[in-house]
Order: sequence, then C-alpha cells, then structure tokens
Amino acid sequence: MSRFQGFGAVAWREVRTVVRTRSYLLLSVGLLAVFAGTLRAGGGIEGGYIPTAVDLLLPLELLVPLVAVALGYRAFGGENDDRPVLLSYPVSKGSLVAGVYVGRLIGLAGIIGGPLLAVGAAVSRIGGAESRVFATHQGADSPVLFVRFLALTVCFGAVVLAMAMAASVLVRTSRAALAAGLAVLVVVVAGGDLLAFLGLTADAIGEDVLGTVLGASPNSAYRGLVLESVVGVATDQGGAIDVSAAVAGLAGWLVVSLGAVVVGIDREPFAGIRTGIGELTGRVAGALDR
Amino acid sequence: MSLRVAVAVICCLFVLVGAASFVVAPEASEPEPAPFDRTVAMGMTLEEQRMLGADRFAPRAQVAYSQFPYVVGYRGIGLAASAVDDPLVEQQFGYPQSVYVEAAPSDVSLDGSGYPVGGYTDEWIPADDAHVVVDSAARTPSGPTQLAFADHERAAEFADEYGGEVVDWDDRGRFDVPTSDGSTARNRVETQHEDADATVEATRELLDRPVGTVVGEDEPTLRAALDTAEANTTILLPQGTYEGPAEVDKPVTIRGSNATIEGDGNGTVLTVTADDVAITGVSIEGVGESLHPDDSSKASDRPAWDRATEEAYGYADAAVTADSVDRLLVTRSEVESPASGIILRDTDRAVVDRVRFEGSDRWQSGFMGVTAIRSPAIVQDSTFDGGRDGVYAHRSSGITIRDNNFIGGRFGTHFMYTSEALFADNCATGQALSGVVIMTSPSGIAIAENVITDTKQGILTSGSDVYVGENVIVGTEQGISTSARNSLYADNAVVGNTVGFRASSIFPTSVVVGNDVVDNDQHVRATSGPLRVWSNDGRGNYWDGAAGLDRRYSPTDPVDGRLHRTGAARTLSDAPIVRGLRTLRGEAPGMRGESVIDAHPRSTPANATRLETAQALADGDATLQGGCGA
Repeated sequence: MSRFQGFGAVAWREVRTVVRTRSYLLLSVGLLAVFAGTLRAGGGIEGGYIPTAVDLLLPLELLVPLVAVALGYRAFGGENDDRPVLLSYPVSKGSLVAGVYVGRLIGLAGIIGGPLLAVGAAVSRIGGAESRVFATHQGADSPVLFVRFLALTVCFGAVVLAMAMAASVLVRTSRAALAAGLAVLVVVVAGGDLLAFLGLTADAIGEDVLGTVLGASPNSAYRGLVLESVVGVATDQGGAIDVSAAVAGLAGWLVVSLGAVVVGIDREPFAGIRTGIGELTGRVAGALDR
Repeated sequence: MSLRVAVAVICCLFVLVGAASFVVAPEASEPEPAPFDRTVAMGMTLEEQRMLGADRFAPRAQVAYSQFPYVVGYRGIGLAASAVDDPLVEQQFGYPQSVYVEAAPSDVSLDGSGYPVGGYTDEWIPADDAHVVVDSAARTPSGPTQLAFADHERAAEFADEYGGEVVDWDDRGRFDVPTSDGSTARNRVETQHEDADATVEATRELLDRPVGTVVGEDEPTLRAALDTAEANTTILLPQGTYEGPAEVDKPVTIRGSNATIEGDGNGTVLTVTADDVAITGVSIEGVGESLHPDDSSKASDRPAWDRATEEAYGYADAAVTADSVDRLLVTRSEVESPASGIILRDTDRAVVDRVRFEGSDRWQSGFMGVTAIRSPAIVQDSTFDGGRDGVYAHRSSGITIRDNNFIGGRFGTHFMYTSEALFADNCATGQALSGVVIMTSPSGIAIAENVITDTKQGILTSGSDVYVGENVIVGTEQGISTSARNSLYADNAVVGNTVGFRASSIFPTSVVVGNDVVDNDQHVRATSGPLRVWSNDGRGNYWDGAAGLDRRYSPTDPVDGRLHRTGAARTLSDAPIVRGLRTLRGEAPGMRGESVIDAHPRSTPANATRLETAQALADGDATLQGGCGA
C-alpha cells in the first residue's frame, strides 16, 4: 500500500464515520436554524452578502470551535477508541494523522459549509435592494466576498480541529478527552482575546503591534481576516488586522497542533510532561539542598 | 472507489474556489450610469428647477457608492464633488465606486442670467475623463456652476467665450461650491431675527404720523376719509362700526380705537394698493366666503406652476389684501374670516404683528390666516385660531414667522417653494395634519425654539439644509420627520409622542444630535432608506431607556426600542446572541435597511430645562400659555 493509498483509506474511513453519525447531520441542521434565526433577527440577509457575513461573524466565532471540538476531541479515543488498532494500520504515522485530520476536516466543512452555502443561496435570491423607482447597483457587495467568508470560516474550523485533535492525543480516557476539548474551546473562544485585552490594559502591547499580536489568537485572526477581506471591501478601511500575521498565526497553530499529534500519537500521554516536571522538581530540590 | 474520487475532486474544487476568491477582485465591474430620473436625486430646490424651465439645464452628475444600492444623482457637478469628499457620506454609504458627469451639449451657450441654454444630453462620461470648466459665468438659480465636456477642445472654447478655466476631476478642490448644511441655517437664526427687528422698526415709524382725519367728525365714512386724506397722515376711527369694503390707495395709517370695520359679507374688506400703509387697532369682520379668484386671468404673466399656486391661494376673500406694495404694517388688530385673513402678494417689508385671526371651525371650509405670495414678510406675536393654515408661504424666501400661537386648523405654517425662512418661538397645537410643514424641497429653513403639542405631526420636513433645533414636541402622533437631507436636527425635546422621530429620507445625510427623546411609544420609526447613524463627532442623543447603557443604541431595534418600556428588555438585550448581532451592525451601514443607530447615546439629558418643560406639558402639569411667546 502506497503512502497515498494509506492516507486515502484512513481519510475515507473518517468521512464515513462522520456521515454515519446521524447526530452530526442534526448538528448541521441545528446550525442552519441558528443562522436563519440570527439573520432573521439581524436583517442582514436582505442587505446582501456583506451584511450577512457581519451578522454571522460572532455566532460563528462560537459555533465553529464548538463543531471543531466535537469532531476532534475523540479523534484518537472514543470512536477510534483503540489507538493501538489505528497504529497497527500499515501506514506511517504522518499518513495516519493526515488521513484522520483530512477526513474529519471534510466532515467539518460539510457540517458548517452546508448551512452557509444554503445561506449564500438565500442571499442571492432575496439579498440586495430592488426598486421600481430607483436604479440599483450591487455596490461593493459580491458573492465572491461570501465565498471568502466561507473559506475563512472553514480555515478557522480547520485550525481549531487540529488543536482539538492535539488535545485528544495528550489524554487517554474519553472523559479526559472531553475536558481537554473544552479547554481548547475556552482557549480559542476567550483565551487569546483575553490575553490581548490584558496586554493592552497593562500597556504590554502597543497600538502599533496590536494588529500583529492579534494574529496569534485564532479567533481574532479569523475575525480580523473577515473584517479585512470581506467587510473591508465595502468600507475601504483597512487595518483590521495584520493579514500576514493572522495567516501565519492560523498556519502556526495548525502546524504545531498537527505536529503535536504526530509526535504524541504513539506515546504515553503526558509522559514527557511528567518526566519534565519530575526533572524540574529534582533540580529545584537539588538547588535548595545546596 | 469512484465515490471516493468524486469526494476528493469536489474537495479539491472547493479548495480551489476558496483560494480563487482571494485572488479575484470582487469590485471588478463598475456600475453603469443610470437614467437620471431613476437616481436618488438631490441638489437645487424645486423652485430653482422650475425657474430653469425646459430650454435651460443644470449640469448633472451621478455617483454609485460602495455600500448604497441606489445610484445617487446630483444637480450640480460641484455638489457631487463635495459629496464624494464628505467624510459623513463615506461613513454612511462607503466610498464612490463610480462617478459620472453629464457632458454639456456641444452647442451650449449662456443666457442673460448665466443659465446654460440647451438640453440634457444623457451622455454620461466617467468623471476622470471629463474636462470641467470652472469659474466661468455659468450659473444655475442656486449659484455658480461648473460645466463638463467630453472633449477638451470644446471645453477650452467654452472657457474662451464665457471665462473660467478647464480642469480635471482630480482638481475638484477648485470647483467653487458654497458648502451649506443645517448649521448654516442655524447660524442664520440670529441675524434673521435682527433683520426682522429692523424691518419691524421701519414699519413702526408709520404709526407716528399726525392725525389728519377723524371719521365721524371730519368725514362721515371710512371710504370718504380715504378719499380725502392726505398722504402720510393718520385716519382715526373712534369706537364704533365702520362700513367696508374700502381700498387704501395712498400712504396713510388707519388707527382704530375699539373700532370695527365691517365688510358686506362679499369679497375682501380692505385692499391695499399703496406703499407705506399701516392698519392698527381695528377689528375686521364681514369677509366674503370665496376661496378663489373671480377672474382667473389674474397673475397670468407667471409660469404655469407659479400661477397655479397663486390663483389657488392668493385671491381668496380676505380681511386685508395687499398687492405689489412696499412697507405694510398690520398690527394690534382682530380678523374674523370664513376665508383668508391677510393676503400679501409681491409685498416687500410687510409686517403682521399682534393680530388675532379667527378662522373657520372646520379647516376644510376655511382658508389661511396669512397668505404670503412672493412676500418675505414678518409675522409675529399673532394668534391664528382655526381656518386651514395659520400661515401659508409661497415663494416667500426669507420670511420670518415668530412668537405666534397657532391653534387648530390643518397646518400651523405651510411652506411652499420657500427657502431660508425662519420659524421660531411659535406655539402650535391641535393641528389636524402638522404643526409646521415644509414642502417642495426648499433649502435652508430654520425651525427653532417652537413648542408643538397635540398635532397629528409636529414638524414635517423636505428639501435640504434645514435646521430643526431646540423645539419642544409633545403629544403628537409623529414628532419630527427627518425627510430633509443634509440638515441638522439638534437639541429638541421630543416627549410623549406616539412616534418621536420618523427617519424617512432615502439618502440620509443629516446630523441628528443632542435631542432629548423621552416617553414616546416608539422613539424612532424608520420607513424607507438605509441605516442611519444618529451621532456625530462623539455626540449623540438622550433616549430614555438608553441612559447608562454605555454602548451604541438602536431605537429602531426590537429589543433596544423597548428598553424604556420594560425592564425585561434590558435582560434580553444582554443576551450574547443579541449582543453579537448588535455589535457589528454599524459595519457597512449603507447596506442595512430602515434603522437608526446612535453610537454615543447620552447618559444625561442634553437640556434638562427644556426636557422638564416638555414633560410638564406631556403630563398636563403645564399649559401652552405658560410656555409660549404669543
């Protein structure tokens, strides 16, 4: 079996797992209902693609990590509860991790992207102004911007999925996996922004570097990129975030998380950390002795 | 296996499309020019447009803004230029995606007034390609104008003939555009009061004339006295009733002392055809009931639109009618009329002062207290009770209406084709339609420091550059309409109305700040047009329900709009999902429909004293008599 075939087989297995799990379908339908309700209340859908993206941005900041954690936290436990079985596949660790990740990412893209596509279709039907009296035009609004929004949302989900999977390899039991997943959720949804906020409060982060620093917080990076490359097109006001820092930030979290999965998948959870802590206490004790 | 390949291909496709969306420029296609009558058009009052007529034209432009779905038309290339560079416009509607100017006809010339002669070409050229002649003799009724040409040579020829210089759109800073907005009208309030004071002073001199004739002693009747009186004398009417009608055709002062002039119930009682006439201390009764001219050929030298209004309103039976005179004072008099009270046609320096007009009980059967046709009069300290409209102004730019009391009727004051009027310190109550109404898109009217209560609508605006400030609006079905664009609505107390403000202009470019909006069923009703931002330079309005909110407030929002009516609305307004929706709502406001946001709601009233007055009126703890000038 070639490396690619191995990857493909693992990915396909994961996709089928997602498809077979009815509750994921239900989740997708639930998302669509939330989107519909949000847009109904916010009124963005009549305005066009950009107001729709604006209305959905904050709910998505919460819901995308939620879905990503739901898909990722048991990737190497629970559904795939026998990690040794996975590891017994005749594929490399890299292919195995990539396969599981890509398979789940496709699932995530479907769960979030499906309802968003439906929203996009609805905007194309009822969005934008129509008038019998006045000549209308699209302004800066465009379906292209909604595709950007969709792509950024899936990318954001991809990063959080990798983080959730990384958390899941660090723990062994599924109860611990849930806790680790929730920890990722809290870190993504609140942690980065809170640190940035505290940094600003303490004057540790200057205004000139704020746009760059925010790139390190996944949801700020996502929000900044949407404001910059989707909403910003209509306002012509850039500077919502340092785009390269945001892209680098998201890519960094992705690579580090997947790396952690590859490294950690066949090791005793927390073994390194335990060893490290043991060494540290030993040294401290030794230092105190002296 | 094939399913697997299909899924893989679809995934790759999605990735490609997603990546491509960042490469493709979404704004690649610029909006095409639209027929001008399909644009949201602004610039020039209706009167000015009418003055141009059919064979002359105003240079035009149109702009498509990035966040605004309608194409915006401008009568005046300079107006478009200043709008394009206006930060307030950018905040509301985004940046201009395309700007077109209309090429002038190749055989354009200027007439004696400097108005461009020719027709509209509908040849729209991108502004960047246009050659614009600035500082030439060309003008429209609203001021100097620039002409655009597609062809540089033609532009240079025009400049040779009529002066000026040819510049590009990038040099639009050189388009000499007198910028004006609601604050211009506000700043005019004081000087207009001073000018009015001077005019009143000038007419009061007429009261100092020596008594030449005493009716009843020197002459038997008023008519006889008018026949024999010498110019610049006073005709004295001792207590009693005197027969009208009469024509005042020489400069005299009629001074009554508890005297009544009684018409024959047919036609107008006093017709003034001489300059420098004053009428004081009389009651005028016995006015006819006709609302229309007997002879429709009157005023026939006017263009049709002007004539139609003049005929419809300027020839009713009245207590006093003045035509083409200068300096007229009607003071300390009472007028009872089933038709009009005082009609002024083409009258300069007319002052109506301390007059009490008693009109019909039903407005449908009565007419106007004062009708001013092309007469920038001063109407002050008077009471208009009943009839149709208290004051009706047609083409009377510069008219001043102050310290009056309007009771009942249809409109307290009705402005038609009248710009730069001042309506100040009046009280209006109980009007069937509106306390004061501005129609036909004029500019620069100031409505200041009035008290309007218990009318269907308080202040109904149209046009542009209007100032609506420091008014008290209480107990109306709809307090203030913000239909006039590029205007200033500031420091009003709007209390206890069914709807406080109605946001209705399609292209809202007005500033709405410093208002105290309290205890209305609905603070704001937004009808047509996009989201408006009702705060400026960090200043907002005081909304009860929003005090202490410490965040942007949207009076049209279903939750925010109920904050002043139920405490539970605050609980819901703090829900994460509601907050989430609210937070970013102000992004791309031009793309949002029919709503209002105040980004800086005040935590304390802007003017506590005015608000207290308004609340006392709303609660019935005070009456208008306490708070009105008249």
